[in-house]
Amino acid sequence: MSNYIALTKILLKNSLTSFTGSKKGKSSKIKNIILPVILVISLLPLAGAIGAGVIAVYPIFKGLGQEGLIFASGLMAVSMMILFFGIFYIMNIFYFSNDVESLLPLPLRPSTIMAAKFTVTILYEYLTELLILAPIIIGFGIASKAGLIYYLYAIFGFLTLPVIPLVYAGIINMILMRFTNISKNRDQFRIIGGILAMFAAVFVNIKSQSFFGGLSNPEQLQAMLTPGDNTLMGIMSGIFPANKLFAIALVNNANIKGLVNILLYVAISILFCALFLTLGESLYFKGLVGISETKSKRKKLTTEQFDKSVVKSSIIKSYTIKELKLLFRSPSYFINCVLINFLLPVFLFIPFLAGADSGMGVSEIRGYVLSGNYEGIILAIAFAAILFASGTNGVTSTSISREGANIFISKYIAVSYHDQIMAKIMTGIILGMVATLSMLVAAIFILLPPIHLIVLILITGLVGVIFTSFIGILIDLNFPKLNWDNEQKAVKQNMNLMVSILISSVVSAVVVIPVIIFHLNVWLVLAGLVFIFGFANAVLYGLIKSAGVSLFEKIEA
Amino acid sequence: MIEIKGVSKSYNGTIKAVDDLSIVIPDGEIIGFLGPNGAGKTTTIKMIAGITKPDTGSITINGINIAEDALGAKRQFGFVPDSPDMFLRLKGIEYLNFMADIYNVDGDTRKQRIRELAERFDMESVLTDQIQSYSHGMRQKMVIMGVLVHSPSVWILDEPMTGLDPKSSYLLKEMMREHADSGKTVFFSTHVLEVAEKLCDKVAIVNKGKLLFYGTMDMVREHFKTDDSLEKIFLEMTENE
Repeated sequence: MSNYIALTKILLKNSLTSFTGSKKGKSSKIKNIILPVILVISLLPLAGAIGAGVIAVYPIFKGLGQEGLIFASGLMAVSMMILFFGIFYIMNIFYFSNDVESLLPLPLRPSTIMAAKFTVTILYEYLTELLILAPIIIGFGIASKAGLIYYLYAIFGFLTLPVIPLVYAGIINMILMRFTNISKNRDQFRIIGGILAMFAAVFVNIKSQSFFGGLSNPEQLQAMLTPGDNTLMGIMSGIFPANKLFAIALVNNANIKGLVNILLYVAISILFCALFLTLGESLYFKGLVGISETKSKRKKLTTEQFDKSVVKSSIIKSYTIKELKLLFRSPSYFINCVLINFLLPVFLFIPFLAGADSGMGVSEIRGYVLSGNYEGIILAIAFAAILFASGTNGVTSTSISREGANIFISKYIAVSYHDQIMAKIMTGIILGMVATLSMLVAAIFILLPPIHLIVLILITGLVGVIFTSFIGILIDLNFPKLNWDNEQKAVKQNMNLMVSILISSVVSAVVVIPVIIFHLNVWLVLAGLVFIFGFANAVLYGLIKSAGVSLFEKIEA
Repeated sequence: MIEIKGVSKSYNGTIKAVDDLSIVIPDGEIIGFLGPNGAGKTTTIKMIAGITKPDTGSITINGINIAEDALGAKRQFGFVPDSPDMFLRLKGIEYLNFMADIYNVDGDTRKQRIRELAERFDMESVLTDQIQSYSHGMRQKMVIMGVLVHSPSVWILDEPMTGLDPKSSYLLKEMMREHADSGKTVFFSTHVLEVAEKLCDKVAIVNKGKLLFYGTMDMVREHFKTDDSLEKIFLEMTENE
């Protein structure tokens, strides 16, 4: 037990310092505080909206005797999110964190290391819960005028909730790692694992969309809701049956049923933990053996191969290719910065595919596209989607952070900071355009837009991608997160990416809303976007050339 | 030639890592940079390479002040850092080609150099593998090859022998000698005093950020009036500080 506490403390300290960055000095400290504060403030409206939504729908569900459904669906959504992110967190924290190699030789039981790492992972998940589950709990509490017991149960449940989804994620990982590490090619395994996990997420998304799609059919909904007495809670529990206990406990907080259920819920979660640790005793270390090995061919190059590999290129081209190679070959970077460009279109078009047989169908939207009356709006929406996609891939907004401890290399090589920044921006533009093209290809197949519209989208898209790339690099130059011990932390647990997503979302909204309200003509939209964003890009480039370069120069290795 | 004039560097405003250091590393000689752990060797080397900025003083490389013309100065030297764990996901050949690109080495010259270096360092069969599959010593060799591919006139090496096998270590020492003998500069830090004693034309000994001694081995012995090994002299000098 004392080993567990000591190890957890060390791991927490480590991850906290890497989360807040490593820069010294007063102004950097202020910078380090500003960013999280902005982020929290900007997420407050979302949390507020969730809470307000719960308060608004509560009377309706209460009237039907199905108020438990509010919880059940909230718990389901949060559990799914935790499972999805948990697969990546556990993979990184349990298997690919740099501390693993120093922990292995220590006289620690596998379950001790696992328990400590599990604790750290759970703490991360509380952040996810705070954003979504906390507002639901508070909203429900206010609407139902709940008492102290309700909040007490809620806190217990809140703290327990991540356990079961994370145990699932942990077991999936342990089994995968135990039986695939024979391949000795960890990078490829991680990339394939990441792709599989993404597809699982897409699958879950489609399934839940069609479930809620089913709810939009009034007769079906009527039939499901009529029995009352919270019968629907069970349906929403899915692969997390224990969630039902938590929901029942909250709904019945006034009587003994509540107490029994919350205790049962905590007990089952502890049982899951025990099962996980027991399994880990025999599986964890076996999956770790050989984790740091990499496949090598040890084959001499033939003269032709050699001549083909050794070719002169310009500095910026060579640097850009290097950046792209690292993005494609590092699993965390590949999943977060590259793969996402192909997946966003899938996520964006799922609603159409899921709703194909009810409500707003593909053919209806196709009609809007082909009618020619809405081209201005379509162009603005496409532009907004491209801005969002290239702001979300984090290629430039994590490009300095990704250098990590090796940032010193940028300082001694004979490449100007301007050129290094430009190469990083170039990489962002290339991948942003990949996202644009993949969205366009999906749109061409599903919505059959006219050719001139495709061309206009490409032109404005390029201007938008340059804009987000400039913004991204400026954020990362200001707040580089260089102190990390696994690559995931450079891209996923990096606030710069959040800020980039936030800015691109806000700008997207600012573009789309007036175009819809005033129903602007397509050529006006085109001229407006190219002029405004072209001008913004010129200003941002000037800023990068002066302030950006001097910021890069000041980054201490 | 490297000229360091009155250079100081402190961390957090209190701990002086380098304290008013002045030293000239001339052409045509191998200079060993010695000192106990935390003496300020790596900080000094980092300042010469442009990785950190000195608080005061100036550094010029082949007459180019690194604070005034950073790029010009950086083109003069090749730097081997103390850890070779870099560009791990690039293949050896990709890394060498990248280094040749950023130092603008023309196509034919780079081909010839890469071939020669790969053969001399016995790395021909691993060029197509990612650097992360290499052992520590192989990574070290790769970093050294990456520096030599652009044939810089000034070599700055931080603990270059660490992890090298005897053959590669011998080869590197031989190459350092050749480079110095051709009238160019070699400046390296080491903890292996035998290497310093046998290889260096001069040694610079630092402790607590200050230069304690700078001169040839004969000058060392004369100064301390002893025939003891450099190891003994070094230990006495740094302990009495």
